[in-house]
Amino acid sequence: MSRRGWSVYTVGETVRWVVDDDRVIIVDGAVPAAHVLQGREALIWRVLTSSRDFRKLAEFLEVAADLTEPAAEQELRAVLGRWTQLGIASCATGGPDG
Amino acid sequence: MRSTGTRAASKMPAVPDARDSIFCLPAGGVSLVYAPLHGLAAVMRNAAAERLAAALRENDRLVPGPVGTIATHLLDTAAEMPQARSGPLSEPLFLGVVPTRGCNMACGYCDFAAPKSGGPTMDLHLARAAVEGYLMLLDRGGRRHGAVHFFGGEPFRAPDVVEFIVEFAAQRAGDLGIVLDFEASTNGLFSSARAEWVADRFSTIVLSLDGPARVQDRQRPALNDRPTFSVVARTAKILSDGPAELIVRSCVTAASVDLLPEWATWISRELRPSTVCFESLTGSASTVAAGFLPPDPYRFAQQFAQAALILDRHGIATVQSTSDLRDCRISACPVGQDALIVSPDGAVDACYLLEKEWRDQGLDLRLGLVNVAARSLEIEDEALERTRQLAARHKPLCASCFCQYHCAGGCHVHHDTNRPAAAYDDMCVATRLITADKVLRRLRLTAVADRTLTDPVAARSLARHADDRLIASEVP
Repeated sequence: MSRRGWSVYTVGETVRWVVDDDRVIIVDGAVPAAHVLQGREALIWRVLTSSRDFRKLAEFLEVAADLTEPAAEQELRAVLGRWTQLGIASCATGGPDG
Repeated sequence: MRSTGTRAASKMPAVPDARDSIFCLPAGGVSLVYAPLHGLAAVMRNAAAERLAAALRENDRLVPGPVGTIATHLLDTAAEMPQARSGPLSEPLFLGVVPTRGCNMACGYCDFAAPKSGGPTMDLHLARAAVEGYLMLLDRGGRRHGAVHFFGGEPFRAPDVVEFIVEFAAQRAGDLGIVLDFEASTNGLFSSARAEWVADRFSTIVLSLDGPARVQDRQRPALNDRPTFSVVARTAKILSDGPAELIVRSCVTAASVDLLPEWATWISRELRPSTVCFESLTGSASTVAAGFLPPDPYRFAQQFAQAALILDRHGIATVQSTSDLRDCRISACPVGQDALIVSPDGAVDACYLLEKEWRDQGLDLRLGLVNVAARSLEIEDEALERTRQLAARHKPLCASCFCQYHCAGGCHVHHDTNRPAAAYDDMCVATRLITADKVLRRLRLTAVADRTLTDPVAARSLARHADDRLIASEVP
């Protein structure tokens, strides 16, 4: 996922996931560990893994969750940060999204 | 004599005069008796058909032999007529979404009166409200299954809208315990990455692909006039290899009709669709001006049957929208079935055609609008009832035709059924021939089916047969 001036995030090579009706189940084969995403996080994962476009994802989140643009971007950064800590996503290039 | 007795439909009230739904028509020197509401088809000698008619007139169950068996079945089985929906809106057929009326193709026969580009794209807040309103209707009605169908223009010309709706609706539906199917009618002119996403997220795709490259590229060039076959065929293969059900739809013209068997061979070799849909081009002044003519209906029916045999050997169904024998119905399209189709401007209609097209025909197919603030669909009861009754109205053209419970008069907007009974046009002729061919092949009477289509006298006799009713209650 990228935007001018923003980091590029990728899903780890050992990460596999299944999209269920109301959740996304993620397995990291390297650890190994499983994670279940629901609600907004599941939505973010589904869009992230299909388009990887920050602006689009932020706009989707803004509309889907009734957030302001800054709040949507803030939530997005928080979710990406958590996923990075969990090891299911990684920041490929540095940037100001911190 | 050969017959079959599968039930045609259930939970439908009896037809006012069941005799009007028992048909008999000439089929290559014998009589095809067809009673779709009784779930019966049979082929018999003409004299036997006359004995059957006499038995039915006299309520005579004592006729010996197969004629008596059929007469008893027809007399003792209640004909069940498909009815218009009634009551409050609780089970919409689907949520239709038109993300844009724009399109990236310039099909030579397209007379869709919408700009190819520059038109409005659906706002995401509107899209969300439409989805929420639809899910609310399902939830209130206790429905745990629904469908969202994308129409155009070309829906993937507005990919963000489609992607938002698919991902948001899937999530919201999941929260409510509702399973949603996503379906789209598309021209397939997009990237392989987009095709893979569609294959992964959608349940059913109706893909327009008219024929081999020389047909597709002439009939369906891109907006920039470039050929499209290679890209759309690539899309078709990606979809074919994915979990989504693929339905290939081909528009057949006078120039392409003789290539249907070749086209069916290519499809059966390269793709794994569930269904191939062949539709005859509907001619208009603009299609003629563009050099595209409808196929001769007799030739279309012959080539359709040949293509169907090829596809059938590979387990692929061949359909034409007006000759679908799977059920008995009063509408061959979403109109009258409580489909809720949302346009980019927020209008909710019963039909995906442009408002101008149905207004020009004196029809009002508006059902209501999307209330973005309330995130609901505001559907007017009166409008809903109006479209239900439009589908159920008496269609004089069809009054004595054996196809009336499958074809249902065709398009409510563009096919004029307010004409004298049996004043068949080319669409009727093709539908009658293909429907009869399907019934005969179901009875495994291949030779009779072949003769009926290929003998010009037999084909014309069936296609132009004035009154198909075996015993008519009154003049139609």
